[in-house]
Amino acid sequence: MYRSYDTPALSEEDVVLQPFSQAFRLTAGERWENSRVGFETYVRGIGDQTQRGPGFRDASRVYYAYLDLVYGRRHPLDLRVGRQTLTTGGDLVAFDGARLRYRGPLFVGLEVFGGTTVSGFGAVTPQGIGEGGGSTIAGGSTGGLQLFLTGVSETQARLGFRRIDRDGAVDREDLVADFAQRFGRFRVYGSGEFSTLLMQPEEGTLGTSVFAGYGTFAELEGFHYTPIFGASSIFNVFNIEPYDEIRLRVRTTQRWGRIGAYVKLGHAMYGDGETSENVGLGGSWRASPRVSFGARTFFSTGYQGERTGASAETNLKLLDGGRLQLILGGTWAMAENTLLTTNSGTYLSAMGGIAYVVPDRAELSILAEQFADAYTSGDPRLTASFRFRFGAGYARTKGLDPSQRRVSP
Amino acid sequence: MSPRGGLAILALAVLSLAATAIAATPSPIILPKPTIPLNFSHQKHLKMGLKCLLCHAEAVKSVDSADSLLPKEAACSREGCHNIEAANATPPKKVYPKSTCDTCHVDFVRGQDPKPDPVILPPPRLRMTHRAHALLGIVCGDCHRDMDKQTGPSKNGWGERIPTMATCIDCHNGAAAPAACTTCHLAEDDGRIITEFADTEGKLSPIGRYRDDDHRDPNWTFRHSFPARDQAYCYSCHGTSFCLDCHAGATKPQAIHPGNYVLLHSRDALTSSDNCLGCHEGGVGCQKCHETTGVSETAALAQGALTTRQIHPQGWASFDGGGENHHAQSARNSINTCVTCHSEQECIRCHSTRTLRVNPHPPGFSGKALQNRNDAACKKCHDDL
Repeated sequence: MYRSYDTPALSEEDVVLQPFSQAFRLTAGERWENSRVGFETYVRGIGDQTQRGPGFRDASRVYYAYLDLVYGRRHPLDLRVGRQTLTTGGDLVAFDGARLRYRGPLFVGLEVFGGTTVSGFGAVTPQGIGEGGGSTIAGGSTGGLQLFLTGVSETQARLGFRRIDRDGAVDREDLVADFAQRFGRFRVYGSGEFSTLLMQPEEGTLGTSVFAGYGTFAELEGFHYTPIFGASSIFNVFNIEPYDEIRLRVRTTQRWGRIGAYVKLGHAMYGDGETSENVGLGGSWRASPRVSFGARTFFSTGYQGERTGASAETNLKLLDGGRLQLILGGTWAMAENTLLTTNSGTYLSAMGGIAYVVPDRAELSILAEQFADAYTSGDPRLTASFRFRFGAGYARTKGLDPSQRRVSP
Repeated sequence: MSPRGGLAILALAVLSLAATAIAATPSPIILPKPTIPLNFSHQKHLKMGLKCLLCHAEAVKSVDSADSLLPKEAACSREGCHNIEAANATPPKKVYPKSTCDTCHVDFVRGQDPKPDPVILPPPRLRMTHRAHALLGIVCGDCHRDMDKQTGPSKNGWGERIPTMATCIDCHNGAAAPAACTTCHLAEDDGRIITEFADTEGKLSPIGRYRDDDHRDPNWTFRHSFPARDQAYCYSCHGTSFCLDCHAGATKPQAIHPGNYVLLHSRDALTSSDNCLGCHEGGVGCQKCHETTGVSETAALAQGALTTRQIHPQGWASFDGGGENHHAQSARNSINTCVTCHSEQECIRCHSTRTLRVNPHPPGFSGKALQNRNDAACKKCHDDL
């Protein structure tokens, strides 16, 4: 993958090309009836000459490289060793170590993991922690375990514990839990995170959804969030108010995804009695395998001002098998922000792009965007990317090999 | 009408829409639509006491889902069943049950049409062995339920009574039978399910029937984190790099934010910055752009641009109390957003026993629990600890 693009800038002199990046991904594996062995790695290199922040330099690294060993079908034992990512607790944390997962016979599974922390992609590393605002949490340790329910019809549940150490002391320590239970067309679900370090709840969700036919759902959800930082951050001991929101969402996708629509309503509650309301409405239509449209609108009011907007885009696929793709779109928004005063005003943008795709092999795309608003000088933005992918054996069958279908007698 | 009244009416309208139920059908990607131009009633045959294997004798030997298990004409015309020879003799004999060609073959007229329309059964994209199930003592009706209610020809290709995944996972739950997706779904050698088939348009993806994971949901990108906690489940189809393409991608996917989102993001950042941080690693994206464009205190001061790029209202950092235009309220309500631009050191300029001693702690604060585990934060402001 090679990419080159520029960002919105203040003037012509400020236009700076972003660095080229190159990525390499390798997936290799062999599978037998009761076991599997595999190896996967993903490496990205970035040539950064801009010196504009630690982000790009940190983004150049081995993202993962692990060996997978799986044994058993009914109660599989799954060992992963090497650099890997984990989503326990909702955060995406990378570490060098091992993870063992076992789906036991008593409706309970166990996952144990531990290793040296490499980075965090989630809320564990907001800037501002520490002195320099760096992004890395490398060097500490990550460990934990998770119990999960398995084989219980209509029920999912997990209970986990995770600890991250930095500089020889505990930095994060959380209990995480989530569940989902179906009662026919109804479903109840919830999740929670509790900091055992600060002894206070961090995040909680409780909701119910109704399945009203193929692809049609109505969902009512309550969400609670209190920001929690690494233990060395002073923000943990600041006077911080929780954020709560009640959301109603209805969405439907019909005719195997050809038509989709959603409505979102939200009521948010902040500290000091402040509230805000938001509503979103959108839809999509795949008129044919080669032509699709999408549009959405949103409106929010209350704390921090009002915002109204809409966006729409269309995708066209032309030539043999849709190899030539065109995208056209635009957005309109009006914002009145009482706390970021310069952000108020009307915003317009138009977008047009073209891509030539060789399926499973290469993609060349060019995307142009133009903004029009009172806040910036309206410089155009151009994104060009070229992706190239090759594989040996990976795409050999695509399900057409009858031997993949047959089961040993 | 008040805005809230309008929202309530809208909510009722969409809930009414949601109440419209649509019958479930098998996935056309897993079970491509067949052509079965036959008149047939399972109900009639079962009422006569006929057993499944009388017609579907081959089923118990089948180890390939593509095997055609429909009875051949010879099975239908066995003794005591459809006497095709007699019914089509010249002159035709009256036989029971009715046995002319069009008894089964829809619209077929003997002598006019060269031959009946063929039955076409595309191979299902599944691993399925009837033999193994039969050997375990599982009878046909355990999976092919309510066949005694199927009265006419198939309306939806495979018919309304074809088992769907809901039936399979009654047993394939990890306890009674293996629950791994690849038990039934076709997989590549790396163990992941094949989701795209060379000879079929469309992509196999969850529809939210078994978990809250309807990938067709127009809002799915923004709400996938909850199901994604079961990482092993996601890995059934996706590789790890699939996550990183967005969560640590070199460029933002166009589907995530509209074109001018960079100018509109502040409100989202102020109210739900935990969502932002899900993709924008460690605030790196914030810092990079904010410093480049001068929208940060450090950069603005260095460039002398704070007066022209003043982004907060007057009185933001005044000492004359709170109010909605004072930073204290925003800090209380969305501290995550503050820290994208401001470092701890900027706060400590006032909020420290070494500086102006402005107390940032909540009323009744006791930091003993944290101090006992890790006192690094305390020592940043308090000399006496």
